[in-house]
Amino acid sequence: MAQRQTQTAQYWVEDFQVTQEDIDYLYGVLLELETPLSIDEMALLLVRYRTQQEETRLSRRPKQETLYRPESSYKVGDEITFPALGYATGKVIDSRPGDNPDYGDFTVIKVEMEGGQVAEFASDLKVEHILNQEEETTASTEEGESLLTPEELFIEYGGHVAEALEARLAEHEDLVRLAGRWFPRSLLLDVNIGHLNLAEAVLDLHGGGPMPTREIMAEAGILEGASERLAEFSLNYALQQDERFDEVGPAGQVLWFLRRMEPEEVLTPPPRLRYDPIPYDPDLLTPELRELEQEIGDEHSPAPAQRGGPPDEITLQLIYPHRRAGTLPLSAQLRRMFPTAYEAPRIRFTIVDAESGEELPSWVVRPGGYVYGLGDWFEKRDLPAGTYLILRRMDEPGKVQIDYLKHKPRKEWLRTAFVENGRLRIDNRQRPVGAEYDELMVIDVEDPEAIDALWEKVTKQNIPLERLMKDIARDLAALNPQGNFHAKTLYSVVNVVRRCPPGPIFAQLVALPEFEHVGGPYWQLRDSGG
Amino acid sequence: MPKPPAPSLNLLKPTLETRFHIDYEWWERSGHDLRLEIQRLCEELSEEPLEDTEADVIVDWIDPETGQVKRVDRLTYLLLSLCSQRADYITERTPLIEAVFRALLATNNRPMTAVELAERIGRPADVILRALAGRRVYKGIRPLPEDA
Repeated sequence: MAQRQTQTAQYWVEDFQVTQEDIDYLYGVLLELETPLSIDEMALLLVRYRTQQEETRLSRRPKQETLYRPESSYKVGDEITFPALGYATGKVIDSRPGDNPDYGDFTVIKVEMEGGQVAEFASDLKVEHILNQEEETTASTEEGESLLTPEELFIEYGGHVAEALEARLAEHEDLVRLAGRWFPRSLLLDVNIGHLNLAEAVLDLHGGGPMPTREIMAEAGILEGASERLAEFSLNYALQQDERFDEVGPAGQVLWFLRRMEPEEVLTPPPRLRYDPIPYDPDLLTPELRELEQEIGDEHSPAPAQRGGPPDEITLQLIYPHRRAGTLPLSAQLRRMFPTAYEAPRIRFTIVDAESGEELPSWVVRPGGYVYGLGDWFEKRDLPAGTYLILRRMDEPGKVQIDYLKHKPRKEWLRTAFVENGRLRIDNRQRPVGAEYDELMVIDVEDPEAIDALWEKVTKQNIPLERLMKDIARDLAALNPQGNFHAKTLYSVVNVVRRCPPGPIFAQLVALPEFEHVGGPYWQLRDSGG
Repeated sequence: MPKPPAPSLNLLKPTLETRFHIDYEWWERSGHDLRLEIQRLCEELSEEPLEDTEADVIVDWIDPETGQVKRVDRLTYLLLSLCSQRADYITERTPLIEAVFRALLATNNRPMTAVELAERIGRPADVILRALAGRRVYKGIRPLPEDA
């Protein structure tokens, strides 16, 4: 009865380790195919290889009578298989009496192993030895029971194999990973400076990109005659090494862009989005404030645990720094909807206007935590900060739809930020609005340039958050008959002049004696007389 | 394009599959006495001086795992058959390098990988590898050359 370890979860999940033999095998496959392979393709090859190896081993398994047992007697010429030495075989060439009274009488046989080396083994042994016990034959899979095919094993355990394999491949300097595929560096096609200059010219003609590698090759007429997949991989590798080019494709798709033609706001985060982390004690936040923090979904807030697949639709309220920079926050929730990438820090994709179908070239800037490309779209619709924006997944990969709850424009009283005597002031002012907004977060700005200048002053003079909060809270309290203000409103208005996630603001609300909690999410200033 | 020969992926740097052994020459070169070390170890475990260990008496020792027979001196035999069988031969309080050293001695210096050593001494293989892969050689423990 044959035991097939590869049929068990223990083999693939608990015990699985990638060996040098595995790596050599996969390397050989890459050499032979001359084609870069993905980690999943290699994991499947490895599962097939391991199951095949096991089959071979089982088919070669020696009969019980030739297995070495120290209790057995052997004579010169006998052929023996040694289970504890990886089933190595050898032939008895001599024998002598054993020499150790502790073991009693026994014989030492001299065996010439397959490789020619000679070793001595005990035989006729009367004392106990582990090899005298019958070899374990408990089968995890009974013969006759249908075996899982390598492909079925891959479906079941491929994830574990791929994970272990990826970690191991990363240790090898000769293997290059690009857009999820691996290939030996030494076998890449030679891509010279002429090829790269042609690629630059092609991208230049196409407004900088984005362009897939195959299109660049076709238009530039380079690397023809070689295996297309290898040529593509080799050019990708060369482009990646050259600073002129930026890989901007979402996961599984390689798209190139000329770095010098990328928007400035993609290469360098817009100053309005820059946040210098403010240390605070998160334990100060009450459960209610924590809930508010999660609800706001600021990209600098701690990411909540996300379960399930990416959401189909997300509604968010725009805060002023993003409104001004023409960006969206790449919050924990939005990260799951926007395209991601294996390595690219900047990903070019398309936002589609739900109303007109207009396609807006956009960028996910992962290190900066924002999505760029909506400046004109915000301006055209004259949306105030606090507007509800709706983002929807589209069937077409690399595209996300944007929408808002519009209505016929009507004059409304909006919380408005303006600069007076070099200070930020808040008042309610009338203006036409054609979109639904969050009453607590809405903040209109009549003179963005004046606010920009004040923001610069706040940044340069490093005005403490505490002072800004108190100034703003005073104006907010004046707009409310009870002298209260909502924590979310304070967060929204502070962000008009200083980028700050809710955590530090809420912690200050709790910690500073000047602020008094008056119930729910409402607060007031102790000296406001409210 | 001509296909270059496949470079060996066996890195010079030890990996989890590199086998380690006690290099007896290291002991000779460094002026340390391995026999004394073994004697100290056995005495430490038995808490009493060993009787005359008859250094020149050679006996057969049967490997309890493979059945292989090795000719060893009486002291080594004591270590293999008695000292190394004690429950406190390697404990969780045994320093890592000392534990590796004892594990190798207990198999009569059968070369082992970090993974195999991990099973014997109950420490993570990567920790063992890091400890043994450095430039400094502790207690003569060295990687075995690939072709050995």
